Formats: sequence, C-alpha cells, structure tokens
Amino acid sequence: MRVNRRDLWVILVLTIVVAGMATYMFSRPIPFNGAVITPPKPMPNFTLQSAQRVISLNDFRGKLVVLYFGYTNCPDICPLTLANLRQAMDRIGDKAKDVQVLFISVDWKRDTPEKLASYASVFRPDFIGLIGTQEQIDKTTKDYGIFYLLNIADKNGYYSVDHTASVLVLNRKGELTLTWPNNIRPDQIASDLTQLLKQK
Amino acid sequence: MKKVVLFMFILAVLLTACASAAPDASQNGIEITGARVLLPGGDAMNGMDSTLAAFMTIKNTSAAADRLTGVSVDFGEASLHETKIEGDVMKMDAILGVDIPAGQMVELRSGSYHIMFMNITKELKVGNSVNILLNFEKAGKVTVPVKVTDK
Repeated sequence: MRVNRRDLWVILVLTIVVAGMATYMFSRPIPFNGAVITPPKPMPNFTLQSAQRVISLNDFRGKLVVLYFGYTNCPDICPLTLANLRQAMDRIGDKAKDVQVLFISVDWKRDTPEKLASYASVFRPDFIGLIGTQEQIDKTTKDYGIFYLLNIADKNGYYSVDHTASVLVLNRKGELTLTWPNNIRPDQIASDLTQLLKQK
Repeated sequence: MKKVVLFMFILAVLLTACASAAPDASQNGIEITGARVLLPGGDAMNGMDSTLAAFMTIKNTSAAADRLTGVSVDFGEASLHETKIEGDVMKMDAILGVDIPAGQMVELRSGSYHIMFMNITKELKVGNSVNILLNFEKAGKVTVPVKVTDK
C-alpha cells in the first residue's frame, strides 16, 4: 500500500487529537462525591477529651480531619457511618496515615471518654472518640454548624439523640472543604480522600 | 462423564438459587427475608453497652392488612424504632407498630424502621444466628432465625 504525504498529515493530526483527548481524560480532576465548600472555610479550634488526653483540632494540622458527630447509643446511622469510614480508610491503604477520623459524641450525659475510646477503636484502632462538657459540646457543635438534641428519656431511661448526620472533612490547613451525606458509600469516600490528599 | 459433571453443576446452581430465595420465616401469610442483626464494628462491639439494630423485609402475602406490634428476644430488650433523616438531621423515635398492607412488602432498614436492641445480656458473634420473636396482629407470633452480620 502506498501512503502519500496527505494521508500522513491526516494520520498525524488524528494521532494528536486522540492523544490530546486521552491526556484530558486521564489527567482531569475526578469530581468530588461530597459537597465542596468553596472557598474552604477556616474553622475554629476545639479542645475536647479523649480517654488518653486532651485533644485539639490543631494537633492534626497537616492531616485531613474527618469529623463525625454522633453518640454510642445510636443503633443505626452512627455505627454504619463509622463502618463506612473504616472501609474507606482501609481502601486508601498507607495514605490513611494522613487522615484522622474523629468521632465526637454529642451525648455529654451518657458517653464517657473511655466508652468513646473503646467504641471508636472497634471500627479502626486509629479512630479517636472525643467528648466534652455540655458547654464544650454546645460550643463545638455551634462552631461547626451541627444540630443536636437529647430527647426525653423513656420509662427505661433510654433516650435517642437527634443530630446532624453529615460528615465534615477539613483539609490539611484545618479548613472545612467537603461534607458527605450519611448515605455516602465507602468507595466514594475513598475517592474523595484520595483527591484531597493530593492537595498541599 | 462430562454430562454428569454438567448436570451436577446445574443442580448445585439451582439449589443455591432456591436456598437464597427461601424466606427466613413464613407463617400465616407473613414472609420474612434478609433478616440480620448488624454488628457494624464486628464481635468487638459486644460488652460495650451500646445499642444494636436488626433489619429485614416483611412481606404480607395474605389478602388482609396486618401490623407488626411487638418484638422480643432472649438476649436483651428489643423495641421497634423509626429513624428519619430530615434535611441532614437524623431523628429516631420508638414506634408502636409497623403496618404491613395486604400483598405488600415493608423493609426494615437503616434510616427507616428497625428493631433496636439494648441492655444486651449475651455475646453476639458474627456468623451465628439468634431468634427474634415478632408479634403480628393477625399472623400471630413468628419466630425468625436471624444471622448476626457485620455488613
């Protein structure tokens, strides 16, 4: 088969177009699954109690911080959200060392630092459970736009807690950058964390 | 020989399909499928004095509406609850019953109706089964063997 100069030009142009499209497809940023906060919002520091020590948000500067507010007597949404976070952290492998999951209890009446430590570490040993006094929890939840309400106890003394079910993600500078709905999947969380970890 | 192997394979596939389609319990027009007690953190959740939930699908194959009015177990206290997500806020309330309309299915699932356990007295192990007694207005008492799972 004889290829003339015009055919060569056509092949060259097509090759450049295909290569350009492929480069675009593979290098473009993958869209986030969570709701992106633009621009990222600087968040106030908080200081709460873990079983071992007093912990501040500022302790984790340089890491992504995943904040989930709930309570240990929650049978449904809280443990499932923590299980999804565990699966996502397992998926991203070594990169998980640059992510800190903090489970903050809003149930200041029942939850203790020790109970939270056991509960959070059941899901992953590096998850940290935090609690504070009513004043500390009120301030932290207000600062972070989290609603909570301890309901009236039933005849057995059990009460449920209404609370914001979204998960907050802070970037390495401690700025709120993303929120996830409670029904987000582990693979979607892992994808978002991977994207965020690429940011300096 | 090849035909025998092929026949055995098809038989195994059919039996597996039948087994997975079989309800966990069936009585007086009520069929229960997909029943599970969830230990999302695995066996380590035992002894934590936290609450757990069970989920399942309840199908009413009869011509009359029925209502789930109560639940009980021998490993703690059980009650019916409903979780609602309003906006991004999770709310949970105890409920008196769940209506199961005639010929329809109602799913007890995360973020909706579920059975809640508290003051758990026995260790639950992922992979094991426990019995849950469901009380229906028309179908009566239905005992469901329920798998303990971490997913």
